[in-house]
Amino acid sequence: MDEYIFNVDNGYLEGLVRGFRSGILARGDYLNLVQCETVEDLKVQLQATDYGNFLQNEPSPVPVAVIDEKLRGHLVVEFQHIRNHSVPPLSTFLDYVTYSYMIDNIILLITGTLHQRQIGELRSKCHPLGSFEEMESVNIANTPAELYSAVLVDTPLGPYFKTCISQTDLDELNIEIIRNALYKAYLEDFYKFCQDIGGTTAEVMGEILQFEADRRAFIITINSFGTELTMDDREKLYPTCGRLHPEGLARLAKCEDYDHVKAVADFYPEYSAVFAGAGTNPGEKTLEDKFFEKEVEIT
Amino acid sequence: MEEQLEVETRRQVCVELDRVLVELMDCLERLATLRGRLSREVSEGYFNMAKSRYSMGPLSVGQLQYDSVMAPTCLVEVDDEEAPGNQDPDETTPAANKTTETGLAPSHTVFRVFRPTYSGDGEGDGRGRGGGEEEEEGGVRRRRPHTGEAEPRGEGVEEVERRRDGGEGSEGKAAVKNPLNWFGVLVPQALRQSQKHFIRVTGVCVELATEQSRLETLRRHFTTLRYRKQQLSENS
Repeated sequence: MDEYIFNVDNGYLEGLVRGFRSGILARGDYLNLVQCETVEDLKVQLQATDYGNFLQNEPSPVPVAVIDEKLRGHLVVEFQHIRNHSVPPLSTFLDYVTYSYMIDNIILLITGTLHQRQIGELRSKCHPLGSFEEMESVNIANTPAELYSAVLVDTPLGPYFKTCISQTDLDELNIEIIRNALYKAYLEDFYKFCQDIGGTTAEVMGEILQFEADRRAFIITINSFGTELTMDDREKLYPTCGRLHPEGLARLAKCEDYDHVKAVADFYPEYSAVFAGAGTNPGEKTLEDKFFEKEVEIT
Repeated sequence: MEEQLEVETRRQVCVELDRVLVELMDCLERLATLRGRLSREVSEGYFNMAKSRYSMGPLSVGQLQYDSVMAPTCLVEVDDEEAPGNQDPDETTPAANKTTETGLAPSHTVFRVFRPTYSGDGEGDGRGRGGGEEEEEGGVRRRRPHTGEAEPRGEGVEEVERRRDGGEGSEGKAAVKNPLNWFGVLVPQALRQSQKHFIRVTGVCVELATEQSRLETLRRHFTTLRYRKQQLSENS
């Protein structure tokens, strides 16, 4: 029955997305880009793609930061167009996509404020998809409690902040804990939302979010070796919506070096393959590279 | 008799000239090696920083993460008490004469790097103890850390006792905050590797400065000896 009324809410957007899908850069486009020797060549090659004349009004030579900004701006315009034409549950789903960028922006603003950077300078570096109205007030907070009560309580990230208020001040360790705790709460909430929708959404997004949760658990564990983060604090940052929950996460929490982590990954065939080819020698792919490849494979 | 003395002196000057020339060539070779090492370490450091930007995001490793005003964690000690200073190569100074007779080259300015242990290091990250052999070659002074663990001693490494009064402790603690933590506590291994490479770069730079100073001193000494030899040839 839903198929008859699908086009009422989603027909236009599905057509748009199919068009965007065909405009994604293919292997041939990348081969052309690799052949470029100057930024001007790059501009000409990109004009032939769906990006079009996005750099037309920029004076040469174009800095890399401007190209990055303009490319991202192109994506943001398309995303916001889809978001503006969507209704629940698609609008809620798209909002969830923006929350990860919001978290990154908040952390960037807090860190920049701690280092006496001007709010205008920080604001221009924030990701546009993660913008929210109260962003510029982040610099007034000195403790997580102030940050919550003054800024975040009315934002979509408010509910995720409850676990972070117990921190007493904003130093590097606590900011890292806040970042990862926010992301954990967001990921678990997003996973629950997708499962509640059910159907293809639950199946496809479930796999993606489980992989993301497990990847974060592995990376947090490996990067925490030799730092002030204790094993108990580390365990609290693991998202629990992945395949590793609960036994894998319990084992990861007790790991003391890279080999222990690799031993935990060996219990899961999809992750043992990722760890198998990774290394730090020149010419080898790093663990992050292998995780990126796996992510592309899944999506 | 006087002629024999002059011949003997000229012979000594020639021997000293040969010795200084060989030393000059050795110094140049060491300089070239150090420059190669510096270039490799800097490129590895920047490459690892680029890798960490790739995994953390382009804005995660940049100017926004640190203060515009900061205190240095690394100090360079300059020891030039025995340096010959600005010698005019056209004049035969007593110092040059003395070195000709004794066969010893004048001393050059020595640079040493002074790097305390970073606070907040976990279990034996060893950053303060790291760079082992390279630091020993540069002549490094290290403070014994508060943990009182036995530091491995090597040649050329001087241990300096840390005073335990509160002022020194608190001042020392503020000065040794690890810059790696500007970018977060859970940073990727690539960024840690980048820091290690740049720490080695400071050591190599200091060694380069010492060798450069030594080269300049040897060059001046060589010029002085040649002038002396020329004078002796004219007098005979």
